[in-house]
Amino acid sequence: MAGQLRVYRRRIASVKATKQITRAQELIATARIVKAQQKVAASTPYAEEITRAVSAVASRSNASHALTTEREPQPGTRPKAAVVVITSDRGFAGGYNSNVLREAEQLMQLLREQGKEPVRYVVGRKGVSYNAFRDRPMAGTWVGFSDNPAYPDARTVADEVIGAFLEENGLDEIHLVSTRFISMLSQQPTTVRILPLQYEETTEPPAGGAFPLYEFEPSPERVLDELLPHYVRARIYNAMLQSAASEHAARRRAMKSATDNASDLIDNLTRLANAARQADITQEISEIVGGANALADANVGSD
Amino acid sequence: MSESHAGSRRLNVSLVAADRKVWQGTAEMVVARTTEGDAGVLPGHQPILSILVPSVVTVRGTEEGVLEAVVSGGFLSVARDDVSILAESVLLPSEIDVQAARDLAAAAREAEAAAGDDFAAREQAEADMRFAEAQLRAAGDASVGAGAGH
Repeated sequence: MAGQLRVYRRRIASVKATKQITRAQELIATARIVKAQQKVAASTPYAEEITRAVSAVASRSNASHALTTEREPQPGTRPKAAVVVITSDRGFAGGYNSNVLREAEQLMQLLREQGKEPVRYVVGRKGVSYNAFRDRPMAGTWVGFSDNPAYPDARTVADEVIGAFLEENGLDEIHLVSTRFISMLSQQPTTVRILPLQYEETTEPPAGGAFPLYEFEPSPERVLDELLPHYVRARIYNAMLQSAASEHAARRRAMKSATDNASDLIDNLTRLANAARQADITQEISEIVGGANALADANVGSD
Repeated sequence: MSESHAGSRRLNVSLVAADRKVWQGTAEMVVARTTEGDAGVLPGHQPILSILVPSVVTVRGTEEGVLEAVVSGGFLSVARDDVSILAESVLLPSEIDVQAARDLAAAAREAEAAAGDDFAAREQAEADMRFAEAQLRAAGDASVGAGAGH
């Protein structure tokens, strides 16, 4: 019976060790969410200004541009659509990666139904290993910066995709699948088409008031030429930052519930261990009492 | 000349880099180098959107006097006395790392030599070179001429 108690104690020790790790992870993630949120906020003015400038050029001028017009599909070929997926480098983040990967799979299914050929560009070790395990071709992979992306990282990814877009017979569309940070408790996988730009007919004035009659120097086309790569980089950078904040939030939540579970487990195991110890003691007492009684009976018989 | 405008109206200027807002405030005049040449912006300027080359942007008449900043290219947008300078990197003189700028200039010179007929690579190298030179000039480094003679 004493063996039972030892087994419980060993299990308690191991669960306690796990709890310490998950608790540390939770605290680290909590500290990093704030930083990640600040980075999202710091990058917002640039993203907004660039988006506004792109909207101004695209709506004012009749510039027909390689990056804004949907190409006529060539007969006999399927149009290619890039799907840029942003996942994390590390696990321990609950459903974060599987949610964004599922979103990407759904998008690719939709693209295939539309007769397009999806081309994968994957950011983050988890997404890369997910696709590599299934032997799926990836046109580009980037790892190592998912929890703290810097602008040059986004630039590398964006330039590769833009390069493929501008090639002869290259990509026809660029889609971006990432996780939007809504709040500490809520993050949502989202899909956006970055290129070609989506025009929306609207009667509402754009954010920040109607566009003034800009003069474009040297010309609307040149300005758009210059703006669009910056626009794509800013969009990807913003998506990476939001995904990083979401990753930390998801990890914090996952680690918090792991810590809570470990606490429950420790409570239950402690109760079982106490019961086992009590059972050991009871048994010992009854053995002693039984032995004493037997001795007493024997003595009575011999007298 | 600028006084007649500046008396009542001032420009709202913001210098925005890709990952942060570098500076925001009011000023009397902004001078920036666009692909078409130097452009001075005073209050009441017509709305424009133009492309900047890597250079030093000068903001005059701020509360702290004249402000200089090095931009890596980007855009100048003016609308209703709001002036935005957008660039992937914007550096105030205090943030310039002279050694890093020299390294960038050296790397750009090599890249330019190696670029050969690759037009895009050559253009990128030239932009890096100009950015590095502008940084060194703003930091008051003596060896500015080193990269000249493009």
